[in-house]
Amino acid sequence: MNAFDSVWILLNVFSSQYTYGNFGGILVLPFAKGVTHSFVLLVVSTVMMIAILYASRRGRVPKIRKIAAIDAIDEAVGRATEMGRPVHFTPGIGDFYGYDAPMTIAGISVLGYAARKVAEYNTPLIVTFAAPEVEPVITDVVRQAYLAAGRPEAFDPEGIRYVSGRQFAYTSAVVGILHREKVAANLMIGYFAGESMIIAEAGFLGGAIQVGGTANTYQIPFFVVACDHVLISEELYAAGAYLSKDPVQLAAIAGQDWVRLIAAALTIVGALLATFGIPLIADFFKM
Amino acid sequence: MKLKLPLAITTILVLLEVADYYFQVPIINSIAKDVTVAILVMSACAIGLGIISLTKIHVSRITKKKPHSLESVIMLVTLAAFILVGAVLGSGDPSYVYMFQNIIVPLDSTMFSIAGFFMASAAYRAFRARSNEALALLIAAVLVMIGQAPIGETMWSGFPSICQWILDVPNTAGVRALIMGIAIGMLSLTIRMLMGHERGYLGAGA
Repeated sequence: MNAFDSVWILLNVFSSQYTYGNFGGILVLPFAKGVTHSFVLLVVSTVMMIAILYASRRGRVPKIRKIAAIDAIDEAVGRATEMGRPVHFTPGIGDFYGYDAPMTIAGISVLGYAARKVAEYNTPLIVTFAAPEVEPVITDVVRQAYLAAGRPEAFDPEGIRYVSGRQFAYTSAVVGILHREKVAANLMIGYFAGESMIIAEAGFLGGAIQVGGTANTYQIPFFVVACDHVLISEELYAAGAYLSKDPVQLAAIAGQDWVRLIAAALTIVGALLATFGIPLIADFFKM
Repeated sequence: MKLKLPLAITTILVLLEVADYYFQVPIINSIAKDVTVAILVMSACAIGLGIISLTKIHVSRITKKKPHSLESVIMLVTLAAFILVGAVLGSGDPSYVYMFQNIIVPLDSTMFSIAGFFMASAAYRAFRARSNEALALLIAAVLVMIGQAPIGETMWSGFPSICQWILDVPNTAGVRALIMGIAIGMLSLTIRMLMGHERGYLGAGA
């Protein structure tokens, strides 16, 4: 038994296994085994991010670097406007539950911005997706964007297209739309799997300027080779905050960077300690 | 209210799912399980929504005699055939299975196989050594390809080891850094959502 086993036992000491109780006025919840380290990190990260977020409310707004792929959205919409051709946006094949939900939500946040730009420039917009449950949200986001741009009459509900729930039926529909409707700007930001390469290459062959973004690590390389601009890794999740220009949200991004520094430090120190036969941090991650 | 209600529902459900993951409390675990089932039921209902939307768009195309309306007719006929056979005879019926195996499966396979050709064309563009980074990518890719192919080992027994080292060390290190960033980014997005700051998904006016 090591020190971290003792901590885990301590966390559960007042409760019999799989039960919970009130001991001395303190509610004790039994931890599932093997996730205690993750809970500790979650609490520390959350507290740090919230602290930096609140500090920004007192006027301490941190600077964050420019995200080229996000800035490229304006360029892409501008190019489509000049060419008189439509902009295509897809949040991919994700829905609102499971691993892909945050990517879909991040993609839809970017859609709000892109739709507003499209509305301002009076350019046609086509939005395709594979999960029917995202349709009401996407329709509302695009309608609100047109309203915010002062052009509610320009909103075309036929541009919002659920094409299929099957991955490759969705892919063939999107490839068809890119070719038939001569899309000038192809924005793919959300959750993508095996279809990423096919859609991105179809966009390239059609001559569209392309911005890709996903947090699915298997698909990032495909976007890197086929797109003009790519949101890599956490940039996808930072996109909404970056576009909002809201100081509080920008502060959350800075908080995220601090947490990443801690994670990197833990990795380096853990590797060094393990090299010298001290498995302290390795044991913590087994808790 | 239009804004506060979705935010409140999001917050409650996120906290419930987090508690379900970390704690073994029967009541929390049971509610979380029920919520998951409810979400699955709602998603199944959403398929109906999708069918209505799809039908509306394609019927409108046909009635307005827009270009490519023949494809819309084919789509609607196929949709109706699958719904009819599936609903009347059931999805386990040989005729439904026949339709599925002989229409959907080959079409899926065809689309997926296109990825192989697109990968080759994209790799050709990416591997042109126009900068130091592209040169490093080209060398690593060539070594991995040779190391993975049987001919590599025949040429020189060291190729598979070099390939494995590239995959295990620099590649794994890079991917882990990405995964770490993604996890932290996901947490930051969730905190912003729970605190009501990230509202892009609620509409531009939210």
